[in-house]
Amino acid sequence: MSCCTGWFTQGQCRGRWKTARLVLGLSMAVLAACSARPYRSGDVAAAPFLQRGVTQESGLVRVTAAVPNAGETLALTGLDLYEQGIQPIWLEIDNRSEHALRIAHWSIDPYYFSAIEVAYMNRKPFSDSGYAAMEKWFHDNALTRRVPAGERRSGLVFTHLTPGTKGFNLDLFGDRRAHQFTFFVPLPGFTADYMLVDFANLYSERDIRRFDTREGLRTYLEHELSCCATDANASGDGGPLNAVIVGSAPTLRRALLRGGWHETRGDSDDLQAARQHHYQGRPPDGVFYMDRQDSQQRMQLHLWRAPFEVDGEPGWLGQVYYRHLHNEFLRLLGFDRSTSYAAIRSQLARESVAADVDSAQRYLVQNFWYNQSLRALGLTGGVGESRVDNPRVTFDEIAYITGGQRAVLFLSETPVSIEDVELLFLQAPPKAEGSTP
Amino acid sequence: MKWAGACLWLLLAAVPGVRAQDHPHFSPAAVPPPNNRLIVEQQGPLTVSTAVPSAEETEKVFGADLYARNIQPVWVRVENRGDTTLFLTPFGLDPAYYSPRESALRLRKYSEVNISSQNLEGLAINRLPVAPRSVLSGYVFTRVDEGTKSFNVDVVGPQSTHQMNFIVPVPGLKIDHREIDIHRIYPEARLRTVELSQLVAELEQMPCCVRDAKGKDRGDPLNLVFIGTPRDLYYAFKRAGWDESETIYGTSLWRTFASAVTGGSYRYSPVSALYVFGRAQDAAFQRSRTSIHERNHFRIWLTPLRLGGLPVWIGQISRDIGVRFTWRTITTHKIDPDVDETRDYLLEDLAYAQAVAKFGYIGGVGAAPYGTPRGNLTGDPYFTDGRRLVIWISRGQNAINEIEVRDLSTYHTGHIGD
Repeated sequence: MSCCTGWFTQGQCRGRWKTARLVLGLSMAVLAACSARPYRSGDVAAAPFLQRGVTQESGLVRVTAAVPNAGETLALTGLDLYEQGIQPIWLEIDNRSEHALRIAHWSIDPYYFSAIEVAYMNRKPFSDSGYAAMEKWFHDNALTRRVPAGERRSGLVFTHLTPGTKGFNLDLFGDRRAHQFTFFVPLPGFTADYMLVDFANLYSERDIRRFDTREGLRTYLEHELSCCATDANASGDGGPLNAVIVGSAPTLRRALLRGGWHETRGDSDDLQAARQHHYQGRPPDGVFYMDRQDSQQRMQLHLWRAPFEVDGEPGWLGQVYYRHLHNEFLRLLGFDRSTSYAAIRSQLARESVAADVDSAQRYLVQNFWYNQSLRALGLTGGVGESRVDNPRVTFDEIAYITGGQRAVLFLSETPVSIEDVELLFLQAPPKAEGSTP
Repeated sequence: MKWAGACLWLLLAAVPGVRAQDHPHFSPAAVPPPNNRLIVEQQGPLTVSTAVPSAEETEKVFGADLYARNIQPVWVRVENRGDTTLFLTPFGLDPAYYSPRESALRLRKYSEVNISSQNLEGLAINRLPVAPRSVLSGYVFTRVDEGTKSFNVDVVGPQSTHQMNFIVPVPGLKIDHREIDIHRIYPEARLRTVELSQLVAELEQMPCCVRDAKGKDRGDPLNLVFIGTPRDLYYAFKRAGWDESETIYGTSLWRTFASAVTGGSYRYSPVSALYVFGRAQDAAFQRSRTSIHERNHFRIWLTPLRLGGLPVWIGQISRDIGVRFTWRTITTHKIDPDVDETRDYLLEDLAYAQAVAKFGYIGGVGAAPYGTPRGNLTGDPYFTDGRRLVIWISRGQNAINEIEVRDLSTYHTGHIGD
């Protein structure tokens, strides 16, 4: 052995090799023990979470969907899939029609995980036979695609994890026909903030303004409704109320989930800063958020039930803006301790993503528009302009700039294609916000 | 209010000192978009012009390497000669587009120059409405597509909606299929027009699987057939979000290696050559999911057959689900052994791009049950029902409830290709 020359005596060398062999042997034994785990799974048909199945019908096609929570997923698959961002959905399709149908897995999640992919991602702790058993379990319990006429199929689809209520589409298609479903399956252990609000007693009957014309609503939004939210003491600038939504609570919730907005837990400390913003003395009835793809920003939407109705449908007030997820932004702007507070605020108004509330508002409008939730939209005044050279500042020290418009969004209960959305308030076109080349 | 201000100061106190004036401020020059590649479309009172600057051109306009931060500015000019307000929605170009300030923030972290949000805002499109008899122009900051940029410009009005699809070449990438002259693959005399029954019979006679360069060992099953012109296929794949593959040359190999090591995503990484009809694939497309280890890719070969005047293609698709070690090649991608799952995923992917006119299944591959799988060239097992999916690519957009399902079982010959 080449190591047994020079530095070590023969005895030392033998001793070291003995130790090395021992360590190697022990390591191999540990590794073998670690990778010798057999695979243990549950029985899908007997899984308790199936009791929470939600059923919908379309013609002669009946679909039931159930979603296990993190613990139930672990019990069923033997794997902590939630930790890996994977959320199984169990579906049963009962095709009592005369036509064969295909289940479009893509419609549930275009980037779904294939069953064996999930098994392969988790192969490391298992022995060869353990992995083989796991792969077979995933293969056997995956949802197939074809449902012949008069037959029933059930199984699991592995989607990306979304926090809170699981909202997803499901399309079944056959020869020149399709059945489309949208599911919202609640998960136990998750209570969204809006579920804790007593909406029936927020306002008395006489406090509710009722509009039967859109112009009446426009006048109210431009001249009567306050520009902004407040702090907890009903004072200060709590940021502009730059979104007004008209639609029933279930329709609004469907639009938000379809658009990829996440609910906030009612019992969580997350987003406490959002709950400092108040309207009529109360924090938002619901806070929703969306982490921007491939970005360091989060978009937040604070919603309050508004004291008005339009044609019998409830109104909602919203404020939408960006928040930075990391504070390195301040360093990137090049501040240090000698920079004056006024200079920082001015610079933040000029440069920060959070100050640009109109970009967030435009994003919200398009998000609802392209997820086919809108039946009409318009822009009105009412917020008031906040210019970059003299920006308004919220009670929590966010300088913001805006052209002063409110987006008014009328929701539809059924999907509306983008070209069928009615455009409102076009007679006085909104003022341009800055120049373009 | 005071506590919030105090928090801000505490935050700043924890930050190491870097002063703004350490870097020069960037002032954008009045550099026009690449006007020699302007694409102009006109519909009624609306004229839309677009151009996509390359990475180098972008650096000249903005003074920073936007492409390196996954930002690709698309220049759009909308001229509304009508009497009503129209709405331009950047969402149509890219639903995850960046606002100018988001773009500035992404750049600020890496740029030598001090990128200003104000400057980017000055060059961007900052509103949705386009007033009557006015022009709105500027950049929309989208995510990067190299090779070819495919996007929609949607302009919506009270009476009409204009949805325009632009497919714009972007200089800087060597795309594999651009190097192949599709019209020279077969001499005219070898091209044959066939009826559907004969097509099925001939396709079932074709090789079951891809081969290695020597034509000796069998690999993944040839489980796809496309019927359509190269242009229609290309538009369909791009619309569904598939990326082209770079030809293998020095830089592309380096980029692939780097992404394999870091687990990052290199969307155009070259696809290795597999052989059918004695030649490597005519084109390969891929679609990243999260990293290079998680992507789907397919290869296609033109056949000498024509159906109803349309070329017929045969192909193979696989889904990478991880990396495994081999003695021969050190590492290779592990493919999902359920190749039928991957095959049927592609049908859905193209169906949701509204690119499928009809589809059906034929034989030719030979079944390999789950319990007795076959192996591909890198030793990965796969199982299959032995069928080939035949997709007729639609020329226009075809909604999912308009797709025709063709029962081709009456034409099946039962033959399994060699």
